[in-house]
Amino acid sequence: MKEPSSHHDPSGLTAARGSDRVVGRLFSHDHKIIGIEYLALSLIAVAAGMALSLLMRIHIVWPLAKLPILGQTLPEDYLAWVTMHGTIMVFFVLTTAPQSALGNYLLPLQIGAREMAFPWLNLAGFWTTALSFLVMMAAFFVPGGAPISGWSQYTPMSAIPAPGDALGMDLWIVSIGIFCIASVMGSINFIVTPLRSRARGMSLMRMPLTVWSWMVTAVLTALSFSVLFGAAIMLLCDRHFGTNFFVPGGLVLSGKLIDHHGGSPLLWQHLFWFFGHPEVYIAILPGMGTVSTILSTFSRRPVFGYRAMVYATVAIGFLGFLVWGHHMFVSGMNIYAVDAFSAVTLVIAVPSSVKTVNWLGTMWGGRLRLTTPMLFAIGFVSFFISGGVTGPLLAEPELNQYLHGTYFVVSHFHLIMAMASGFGIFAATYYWFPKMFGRMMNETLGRIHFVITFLGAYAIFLPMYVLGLAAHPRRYAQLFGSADYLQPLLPIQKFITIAAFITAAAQLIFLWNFFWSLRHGKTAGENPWQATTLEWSTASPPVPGNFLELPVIYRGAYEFAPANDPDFHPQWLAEEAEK
Amino acid sequence: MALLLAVLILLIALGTVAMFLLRHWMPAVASGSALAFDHQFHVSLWWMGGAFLLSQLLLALIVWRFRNGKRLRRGAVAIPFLELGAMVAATALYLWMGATGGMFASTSAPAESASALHIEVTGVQFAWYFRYAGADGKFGSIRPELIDASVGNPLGLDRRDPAARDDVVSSQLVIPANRPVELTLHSQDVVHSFYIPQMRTQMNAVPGMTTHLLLNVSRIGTIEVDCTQLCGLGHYRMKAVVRVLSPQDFAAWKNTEFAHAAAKAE
Repeated sequence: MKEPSSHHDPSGLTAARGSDRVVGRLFSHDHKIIGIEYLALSLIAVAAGMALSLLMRIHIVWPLAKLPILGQTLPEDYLAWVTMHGTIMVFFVLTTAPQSALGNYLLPLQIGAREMAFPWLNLAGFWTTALSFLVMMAAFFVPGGAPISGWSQYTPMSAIPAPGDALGMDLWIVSIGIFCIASVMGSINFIVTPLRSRARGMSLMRMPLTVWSWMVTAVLTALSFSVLFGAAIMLLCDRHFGTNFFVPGGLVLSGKLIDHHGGSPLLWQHLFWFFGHPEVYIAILPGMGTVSTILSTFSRRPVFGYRAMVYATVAIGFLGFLVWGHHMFVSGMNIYAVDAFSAVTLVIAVPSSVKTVNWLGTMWGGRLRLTTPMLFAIGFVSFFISGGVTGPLLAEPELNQYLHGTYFVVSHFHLIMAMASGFGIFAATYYWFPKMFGRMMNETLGRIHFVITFLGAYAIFLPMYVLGLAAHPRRYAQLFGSADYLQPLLPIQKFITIAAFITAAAQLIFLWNFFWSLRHGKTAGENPWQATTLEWSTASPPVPGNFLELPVIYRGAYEFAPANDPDFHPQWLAEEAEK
Repeated sequence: MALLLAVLILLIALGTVAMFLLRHWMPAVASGSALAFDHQFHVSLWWMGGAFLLSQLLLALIVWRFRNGKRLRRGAVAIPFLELGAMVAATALYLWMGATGGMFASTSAPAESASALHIEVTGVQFAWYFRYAGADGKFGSIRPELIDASVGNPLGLDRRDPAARDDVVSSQLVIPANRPVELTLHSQDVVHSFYIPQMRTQMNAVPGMTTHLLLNVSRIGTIEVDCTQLCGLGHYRMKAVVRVLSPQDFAAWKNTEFAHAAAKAE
């Protein structure tokens, strides 16, 4: 396809001239621009989150090291980094990038719509998220610094103003409150748009699995963030307005009797994890949809068991609301509740297992094209397996009593929620970059980035499994001064720190590739990957309004036939699938 | 690239298995229930480790085998039988793991606490305190406003209460071997978790609430305790030791301590 002559600059990013155009673009309600803005925000956030993780890794093994600018750092600094690393990564990266960024950009394109259902709400959602991020980052710079009670903010530690949890803690709560509002605003679009704005012929069962994932994720977002919003307000009231939701009577903190009575620390845990567990699926479901799509495209085979994938997505979304108590097996919660949460947790492993089987089934018998997005998608599957297999172990209450609060858990959720999800985001970025900016990313750099990151991530997180087996508790600022039996584990911790630095350095390759390719990448054309879903029917980047004329959909989302020529049958073409 | 990727996945899979088998990573076992834990853990680990190895090897095999499209399958895009089979197998395996892994433990919760030795554990930023009921067998009352470690009353014992006067407060958990010990856990400030790796167990100490932990230690010696719930800047150094004594040694320790406390109370 020839490029329209009006698109000299395929990325469209530098096309804006004059301040009016810039402002107009920043506050555009076009879903594609909003998507890219979310992507930029999460890119800034992931850089901050990664920098914090490197600081943590240094402090664990070299607690006395004098750092540039920061100088001598303390255990409470380490805890502030832990808290902010978790918070930034979970909210501003894992929630923002796969759902808000990619979903916003692609969902209307993939269902044949010109816009999101509520474009102005969408715009408000982004700027509210940006505000939330600014408030969160401000926590570093206020007296007392960022909060130290961990991203799960267990009460009563987080509920009582104290040196480590001073003004920074209040900013944390306010930021999360704003983020909740932003997320609910965003999620309404993701639910309504695919239900109301699909092009002719796009039945629900012809939708790409990405669209299914974004829709189910949005339902989770709307329900769970509403609860977190309530909990955040309650926490703020406990801190400043004399309420007693989470603080029991008779507490003595730093020698001072606390004037509270009647609250329940467990109430916070229930409310937090009622949000917190669906959040795990909010982070991973879009990645599952992305990976299904990419595996299918580059295996030149239909997604194996499309219907089962849809049902599994919905099942995971539903069951995701019933498992929060598995974070609380040793909290002192009722032992019968432990049984129930354990059972549901083991059941939720079933749809996840079905998905894994189907990913392998998609590739089996295909004609694999190992492009960079495909490599990252395969990496996703590998991490999903490595992190997933320990889920049923942790779901056994008896085993959980030993493994809870150790590095075993850290490894488990990082492999799944961070590495698998992260590889889903990388795969998506390499895959849809040509659509977003009209140019291809460099394949050689992409492969180098993949190999180092894949090995590096495993080098970081696999050893954490055995640290956990050796009973190494998490969130320990340093080994020096902690229990004697932990001291021999220092070499493993050092190894992990070195691996973390190498892996982080490899991300510079990605950044370079990203920004270099914006201007100098090969021109992509409409459908560089010979894919079947609707976003590949329009120009790269898409014209305003997405499609010159609204497409009609003739078939399912993944009609590949590896033995035929051509081996793919796009959704928007009327010809017969089989010759 | 296909060869490289397949080899990478293969190496990671085999390397992981080797790492787990390299040595016995868990600390030495100190109790019967810890032995039961190790058994359950190893059975579960073999199953899930098998699933891990099988899936990763399959992934590597697929990457290698279908690299150039010479083994194209026109065939199925869904095999309901396979999906259903995978579902049934996974469900059976996971539920079996749950059932054997203590999912129904609450129905057979140990009721042996009648003969048990009762000790109260209190978590404080950043230390553990242990309280014994003293000669009268009764824990005396506590008033939070009396808490002051600098005058030797870290738990806020109300000395006007006769039952409190002979209570023994220790910074070590001293227990007899082979006798059930019931710990009652409290916290003065924030949530802590009392973690005894050698007994493969832990329980949160929650302010405003009482939680329980039942021990029965078979090995005489010293055991380390950590805190596994983030509790503040000293979290990493919040530790304690359990001294497990023979019944005779324990009786001797108890007599000395109790007599000492009683003398102080006079």
